Amino acid sequence: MRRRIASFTSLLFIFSLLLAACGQGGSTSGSGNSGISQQGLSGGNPYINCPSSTNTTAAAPESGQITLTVSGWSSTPAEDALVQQNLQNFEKLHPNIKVNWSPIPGDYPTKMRANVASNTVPDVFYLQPAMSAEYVSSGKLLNLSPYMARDNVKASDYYSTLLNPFVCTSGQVYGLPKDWNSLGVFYNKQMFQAAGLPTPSAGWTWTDLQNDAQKLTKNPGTPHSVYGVVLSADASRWGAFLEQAGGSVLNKDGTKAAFNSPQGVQALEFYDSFFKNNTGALPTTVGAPWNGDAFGKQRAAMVFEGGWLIPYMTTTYPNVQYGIAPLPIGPTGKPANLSFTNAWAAYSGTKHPEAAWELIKYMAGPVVQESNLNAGFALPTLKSLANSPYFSSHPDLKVLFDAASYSYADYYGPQDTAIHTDLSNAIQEVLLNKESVQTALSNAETQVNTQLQGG
Amino acid sequence: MLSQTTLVAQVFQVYRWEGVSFMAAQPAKSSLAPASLVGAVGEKRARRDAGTPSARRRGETLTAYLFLTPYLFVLLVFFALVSVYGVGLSLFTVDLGFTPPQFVGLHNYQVLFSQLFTNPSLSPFWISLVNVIKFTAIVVTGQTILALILALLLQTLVRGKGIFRTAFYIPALTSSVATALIFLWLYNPDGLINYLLSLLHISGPDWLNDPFWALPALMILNIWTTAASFMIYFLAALQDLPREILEAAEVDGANRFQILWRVTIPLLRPTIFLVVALGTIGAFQMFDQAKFMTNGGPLNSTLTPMLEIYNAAFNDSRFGSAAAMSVILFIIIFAVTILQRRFIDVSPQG
Repeated sequence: MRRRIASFTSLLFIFSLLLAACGQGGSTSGSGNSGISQQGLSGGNPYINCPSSTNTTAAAPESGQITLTVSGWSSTPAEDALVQQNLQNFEKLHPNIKVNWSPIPGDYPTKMRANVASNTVPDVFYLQPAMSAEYVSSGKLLNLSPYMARDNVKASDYYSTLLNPFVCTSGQVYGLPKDWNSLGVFYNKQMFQAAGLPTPSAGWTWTDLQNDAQKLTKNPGTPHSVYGVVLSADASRWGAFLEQAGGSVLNKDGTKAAFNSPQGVQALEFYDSFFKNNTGALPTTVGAPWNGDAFGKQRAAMVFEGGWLIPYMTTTYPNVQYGIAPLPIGPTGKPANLSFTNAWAAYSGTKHPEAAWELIKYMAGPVVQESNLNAGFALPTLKSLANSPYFSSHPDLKVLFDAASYSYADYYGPQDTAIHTDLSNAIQEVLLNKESVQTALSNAETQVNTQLQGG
Repeated sequence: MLSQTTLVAQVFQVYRWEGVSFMAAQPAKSSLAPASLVGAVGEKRARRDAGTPSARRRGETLTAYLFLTPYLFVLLVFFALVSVYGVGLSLFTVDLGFTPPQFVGLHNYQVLFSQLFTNPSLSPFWISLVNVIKFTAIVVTGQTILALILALLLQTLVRGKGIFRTAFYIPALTSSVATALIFLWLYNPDGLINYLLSLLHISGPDWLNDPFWALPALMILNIWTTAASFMIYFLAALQDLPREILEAAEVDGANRFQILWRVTIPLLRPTIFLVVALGTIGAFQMFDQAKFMTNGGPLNSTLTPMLEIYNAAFNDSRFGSAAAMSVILFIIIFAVTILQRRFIDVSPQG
């Protein structure tokens, strides 16, 4: 009722956005979330508020002919073909459901926002963590927990770091992670050999990394420079080192910045040490748009990137011999990494919630995930696929996959985008020598706290 | 969504429209039609109007409005309504479709101004305003002078005028994203510009990734692309200059520099105002190059208000706050344009 009134008031003034303003997507009936099993989750994600009302029961299967509109993005034609193949397989298993795959090219979150504003949201779609809080808290997504309970799909089947960005405080699940990636050290085998260094391996430390970078750097500051490490001023890289130092970006309940700590200072000083010692550089310094390109151009002996670099190397720089090692161990002695994932989710206003769930269950399930792994596209999010035969023939991918147990989601709640920007700016200030580590972190802390307070 | 984008587009429109009205006004002012002739026509019309029944006059007015209807409709719906909507939007918190809009009064403005008074160096919007003021000052000066020089050079050319005019104008015809992409390569640390500098034994900076050089790099690009179109304004104005006055100056024994400085440029004043005003309006709204070449970085050194408005709206879903920024930007551009009109354009009605 209150929602109605608010919309009505705005209508008087904002009459030209008539449809978008009052067209609040119909979240299905039911109130509260008492008594439903949260499928193995002991707690939820404190960063994401649960919607005020959501579906608490699973709809019954429909008998008539159903058409589902499904949206996402596709990075390559090969990936798109595999998605379509899997959707066709789903149609074969469910003869009464027709799937209409309409990928969204370009800026996905912005275009989805337009769809939400005009109430033309696809039935099932890809959900990025950065979109998650807004979609979940405003009740735009179908609560999957009742369906998971019915079909015995456990939240604990998935790695918690991967499921977490799509779960609200009470533990209701709004998306199932479709695939994921972590960071690894991509190292150039020839350069390590030429320098007479052993290749990085599990258990190597921050100090090892600094020493190796020193020995691998050649002609720094010249047009033919090769750096030990090429690093970007990016919160989505530095975050891993912050966790390795024992720090974290936000406090437990996500209400305050926590990175301005001794651990934060230590992690940023470490990150900056490569620049101070002239053993590391920004990708742009060596004329590359991103770390992976600097690595492919053989201007960097090491970069910290994820599995997405593998197909890029195969297609763009097939002659570079490289290996992948786990990230180094920090001062705490414990490994830490970041996880990057996206989910399958359904629109709460879909006319066919049950069919939407069936599709999500299938697309985030073991059959499709194994097909993605075998195509070399992405890592599976299901624990059951940890021993897939593919891994024994591709040990490099296994290195990235094994980080699942000690990764932290690169996701910081409703202000995710702004926090990433503020942190990346702070890192850049330090790397470019514009600001001291302490001042940069304090400034970023002020900014992040303002944003968290809704400034 | 649609309304929001049109809102942003409208903000553009307001300034463009403002600019066009100046443009339309200028030739009338600079044309040297004898006042008596204008008076005579006016008188005649007045007499005829007086002689006809007022009903017919009303009929004529009605016809005029009828002809204007399509344009007025577009103006009303896509300009007036949306502008008012934008101002209204700035009084709400709006995330388009997720939560119901909430009326917050002047809160969005309060937040922006409290940032201004506490720590503007941490506020992207105020950083972006400082950037754009620097940008505008240098780009407008640069492009106006360059456009004038190019036009004067072309004017004195006897042969090959067409070829050079076309060559100079090509940057203005090229899509700004295409030129941005080309300049991305030119500004590359191993790119052409640094190669040329290295021939002079100067080691060039990493243009677009150095907080000091990124904004100047965009300024240079902007001067280069916009000077060409303003050159056309100057060329047109130069061809319109009354020959008698120039000849009179020559007869009086003025040398070429004196003619340029004391006759040509003062006569070009209305055009200079037009070019400066349009240039300012355009520079204040710089978006495409900042978005595609540097995305506001490094360290917000190329963040422009339009880019920050875009970021606030579409990345952070703070549409109300973005609308408030648009309103502030509008007021600033409006004020600057009025000021320029006072200082540069001293023609009788100005």
